[in-house]
Amino acid sequence: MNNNQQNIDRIIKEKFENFSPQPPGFIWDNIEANLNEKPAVFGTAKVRNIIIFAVSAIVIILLGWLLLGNKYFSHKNDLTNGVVSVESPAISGNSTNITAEGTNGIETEEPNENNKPEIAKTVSYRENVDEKTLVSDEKRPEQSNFENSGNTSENSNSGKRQFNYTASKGFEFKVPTNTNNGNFVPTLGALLYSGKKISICETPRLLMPAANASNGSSKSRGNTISKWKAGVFISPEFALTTLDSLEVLHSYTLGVDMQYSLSKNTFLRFGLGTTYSRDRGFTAIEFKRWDYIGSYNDVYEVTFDTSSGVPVPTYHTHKVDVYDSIQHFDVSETTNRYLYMQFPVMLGYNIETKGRFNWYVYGGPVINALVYKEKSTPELDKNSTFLNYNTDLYERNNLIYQFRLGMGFEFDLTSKFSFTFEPDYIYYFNPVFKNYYEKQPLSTLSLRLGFFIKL
Amino acid sequence: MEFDSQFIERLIKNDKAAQREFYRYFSSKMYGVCLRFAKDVDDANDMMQEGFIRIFNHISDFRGEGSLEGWVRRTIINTAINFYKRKMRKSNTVSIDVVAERVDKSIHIIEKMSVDELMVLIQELPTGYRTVFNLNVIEGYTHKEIGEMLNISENTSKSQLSRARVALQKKLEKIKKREQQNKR
Repeated sequence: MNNNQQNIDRIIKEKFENFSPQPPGFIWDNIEANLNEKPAVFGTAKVRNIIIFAVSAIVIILLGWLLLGNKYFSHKNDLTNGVVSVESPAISGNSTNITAEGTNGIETEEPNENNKPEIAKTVSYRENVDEKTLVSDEKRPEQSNFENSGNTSENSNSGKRQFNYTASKGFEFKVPTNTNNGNFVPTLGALLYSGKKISICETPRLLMPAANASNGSSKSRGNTISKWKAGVFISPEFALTTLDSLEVLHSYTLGVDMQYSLSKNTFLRFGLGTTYSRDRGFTAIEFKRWDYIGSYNDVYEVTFDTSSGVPVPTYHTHKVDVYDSIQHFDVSETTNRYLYMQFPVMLGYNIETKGRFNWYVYGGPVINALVYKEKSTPELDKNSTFLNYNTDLYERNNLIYQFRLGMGFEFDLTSKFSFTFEPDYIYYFNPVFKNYYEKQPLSTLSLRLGFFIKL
Repeated sequence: MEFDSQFIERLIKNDKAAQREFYRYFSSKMYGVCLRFAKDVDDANDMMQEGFIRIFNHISDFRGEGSLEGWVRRTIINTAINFYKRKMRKSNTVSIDVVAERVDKSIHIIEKMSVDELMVLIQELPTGYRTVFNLNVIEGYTHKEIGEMLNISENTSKSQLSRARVALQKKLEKIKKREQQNKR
């Protein structure tokens, strides 16, 4: 830089050093109004994201609550922590056992054919196995003697009978029996937990011999609740976060998930997916182009007309176009495209099954690994020569870690197939973009649609 | 005026009187910065408003290292840069033809110009040139720092500045010619 230039810079700098114009009054009014609207505590991106996260979770749960109107939604007791055994004294040489167990086997007693009409034989309930077997004879026990010094009560209506047991440990059993049918098995929806009460109420859907239940197998003849499910999902994903210099476009994921039931209500889901993501931004490019500058009339001949005695010149011209190499600076919109492999691991909880509907919540980490990227650059025509470019479209990271929290609605189409709809909130743990000046984490909303098949 | 830690505490607690006092002290200087970075008064007003809201919301980030004025100035400049970036996103394409570089001796014209006239010249520069010119010539940032702020290479920053100068000189030439014509 020459001295002349330095002097110009110095003069300009000096002139602006004391340049302090008075801003218009309305600016302060606007600032004050804005500050009154939003307290500073909500100003940070971190706090904002936590709030968005919490609100999303609450909305998802409330939405499910309202849609399904689950009046039985309550916290469940963990039966695996205690064993309550209820026995009635033998009447006419038989006995009645009501057993609630953790992961232990089922205690049953085969009925004596001779005394069957008179005696309630065995009522067993086993937790954490797929068959929820509850077998009862026609007759209820007239007298009970409980190991835990509990109380009993009896209800009877519409040909269905039940007796309640409140143990000293706080468990209560409501065991209905169907007088028309000696055996019944409660389904998942029939097991209701309320505070420290456990009620097994009437849903005599599946008949299951006690002998089948006693073998501890997860499958039984003709009646199976499978532990494994396989699903296929497609999910569009919408960005909730707005970034300054680039725009995160919708992304799409196609995935295959495997789901394993850990217990009656909890499940583990893992899978593999492919995510197609796009970001749009602007790229400034410098190039030289052979451009048309203008034209002029070139005189190629001059003739003189002397007929009037005075020579009059006539100029014969032709148009000549002028081109020159002009340097351009151009900003154009560009889009980068990425393909990620996605590895989700989710832990879920079935909230309720109602008829053919099931709804649940789930959450867990997701790892995304980049497998392909396509960086777009502005295209130049054949008359242009590329010089330089810089872009505000930042590149994505090779590894992206997310946390997903969602809610699912499952509808059984057949006994094997079900359709699911899962809106979920996704929070990005690490910055999505390399070297991006804004470090705020990204949040997105995804709508997963898919099918499950019970294996 | 001294802004001690107690005053900063008041700002953090959203004390309206302190905010007003703070604004009154810095507004003129920072408005000058905004006018230089903006292409017109409307944009400068927007920058100013956005910048001060950001300052009040993030005043707790000021750790007392360095001067408060430096921190305020830097926040305003960052706001101006982000403003420029958003503008880049919203406008589809901005084409700027670059003229060949020429050395010009316009120093005496600049000396004679008022700040307002000079401001008009700077505001007429294309956004990219204006930003780099402001950051380097007036704010004193190096090309490396500008590169990091604008996410461009050091060389791009240099070439942008060089073109900004050429564009300025061209404008000065026009003024010079106009003055000569007026004298005749």
